[in-house]
Amino acid sequence: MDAISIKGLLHQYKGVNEPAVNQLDLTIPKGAFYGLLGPNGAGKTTAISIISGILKSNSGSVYVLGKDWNSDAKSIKQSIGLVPQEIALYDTMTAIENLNFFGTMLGLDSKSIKTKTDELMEEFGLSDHKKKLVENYSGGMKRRVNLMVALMHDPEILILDEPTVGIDVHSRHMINTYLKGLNEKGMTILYTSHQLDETEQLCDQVCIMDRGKLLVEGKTSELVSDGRSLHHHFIELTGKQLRD
Amino acid sequence: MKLLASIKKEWLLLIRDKGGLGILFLMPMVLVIVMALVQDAPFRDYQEQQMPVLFVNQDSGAISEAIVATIHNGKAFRVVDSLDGIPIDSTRLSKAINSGEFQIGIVIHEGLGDDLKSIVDSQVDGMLAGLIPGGDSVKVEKPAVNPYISLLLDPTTKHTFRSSIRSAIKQFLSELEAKMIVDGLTSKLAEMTGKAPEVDLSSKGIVQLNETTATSKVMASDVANNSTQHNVPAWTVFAMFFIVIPLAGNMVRERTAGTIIRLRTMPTSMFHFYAGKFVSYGTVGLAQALLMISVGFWVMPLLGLAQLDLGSGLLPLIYVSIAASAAATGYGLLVGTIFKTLHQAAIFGMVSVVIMAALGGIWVPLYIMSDSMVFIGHLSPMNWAMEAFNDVFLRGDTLTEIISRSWSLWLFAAICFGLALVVENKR
Repeated sequence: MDAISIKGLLHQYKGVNEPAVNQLDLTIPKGAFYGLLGPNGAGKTTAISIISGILKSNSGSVYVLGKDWNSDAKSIKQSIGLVPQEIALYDTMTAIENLNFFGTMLGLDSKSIKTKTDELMEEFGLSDHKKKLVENYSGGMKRRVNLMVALMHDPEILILDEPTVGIDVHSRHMINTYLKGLNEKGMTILYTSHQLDETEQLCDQVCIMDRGKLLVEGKTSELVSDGRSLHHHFIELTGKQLRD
Repeated sequence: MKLLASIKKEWLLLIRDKGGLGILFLMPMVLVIVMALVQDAPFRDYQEQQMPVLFVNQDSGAISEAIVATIHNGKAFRVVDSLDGIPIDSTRLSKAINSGEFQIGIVIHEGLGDDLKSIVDSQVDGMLAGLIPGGDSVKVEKPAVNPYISLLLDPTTKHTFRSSIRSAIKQFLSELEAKMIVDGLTSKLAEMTGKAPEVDLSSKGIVQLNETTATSKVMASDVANNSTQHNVPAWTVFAMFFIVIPLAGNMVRERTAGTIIRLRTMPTSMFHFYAGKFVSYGTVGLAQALLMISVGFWVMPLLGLAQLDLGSGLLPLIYVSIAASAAATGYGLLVGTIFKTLHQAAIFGMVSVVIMAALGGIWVPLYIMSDSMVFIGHLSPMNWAMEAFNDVFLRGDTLTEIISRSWSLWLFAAICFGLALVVENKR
């Protein structure tokens, strides 16, 4: 059974001529570290939103761990963790207060929340900043907490939308190392980024999409086996034209 | 558990926004005090107020002096006949009124006393001629005079103010004329019969106006007749509905920050999220209402205003405050759900509250509006809330009566809450 299976996915926003996602077929095996790449406007965030159940597609099917969003939404939600591109946290609450709130919303009991919160605060190097409000955190610290929330319930699939954008080198390294560790323990990771060198190092499988369509999909090692980097393939497939 | 977590989260956000919290409580308190102070004067009667009246008496007779004395003794007006130690004339009077320095001016023209006396004498003679045998043949000539007093009013004064001044002056002129006619008749009758008739004209009039307030309960005092009693419920409701702005702003911020999106990916119903906000902000609304009622009860007397009479008591008051707060919070949730930006939500929230207040009789009582406006006004939830407060404060209704009449506030709250959830789930 695949972690995520998408067939003929189509979504067009109101008032826009071209579909954001156009007949997209994608298969992400369990345990994969999967990079979803594409320039601005490629349809990455739309695809992730549909996979996460935030957005309903116009047509096509999405199966997460073999379950359909229409009939098994609650079960799917328990299996996925989403790290949005925005810092989706309450600024005037501490990291622990954020984790407690989202943990409860995830359906965890107070004991599990306490155990998981202590563990994550330690692993992400935030134990000394328990009493600080998130608004007083650095960009890197906020990104770490943003990721921690999605890990509270130990999801089987972690979906990350540009999780390391605009952060310091050390925080980026820490997050990437942690993600690699999670993947090695069996967690499926779907990851979007504009950092192609980072993606090449992290992801064992990638796909490049543009204008809502899949351009290429496969194992990272096979794609770069010709000696050219992922960056080179990306430019070749999507063109040099600027995207805004 | 989820509901409690949601409530706790809202409280943490609320108490850490000290500036916002201060505004939520301080501004309504200032509003209710200022409005009660500003509107205090119109609630006091003119006798208490003693309006200053510029007065020019161009007539030196005893009757004009009597008019001045009547105006003075009536205590409705304070006669001002000199400015800066210089007696005023009609030109100075006109200037002072036109400039807005004074609102009322009265000019008694030269010869008014003689003219009035000649008319009164003529009327007395006419009346007596009809009573004396053979008096029909006596021809009583009406004097060709038209006495008048000039009343000058500041052009900015409102129609209602002009009417009340006009009727106050007409009243004392009528009293003076009646007294002159009676005096003329008694003196003529005394001349004719050699005996003065006894006439007792009470200054209060013969038929008395007995004014009572139709309440289901006998109130401790004439509570309806003061600024505190009218302004506290009206502005309490107004301020409570302004919770729409911080609440809608809070929701839009959550949406733009992505926390709502994050919650949508979690195995939880948005009901907990909305209910948490409803309970937390509803409690803030209740606290606002209790604070403003406390201000009416304890602070306003210190400012020279009447003390708020709690009417039916604390329990009905708390119930009405909860119902009004539920309606305001439900509306805030709906506005915060429908609008996508802070700008849209804040402007719509503010303008819609002002419109609902205007239509609902917060500023101008519904009973002086046209029929169509009264009909529309009764559709405003702010009118329902104010009427519920009036049921407690002014009508003295019992808790049972109030519960049976305030269902519309709960229904409005439930509809707004339900609609907000439907819109959110459809996104």
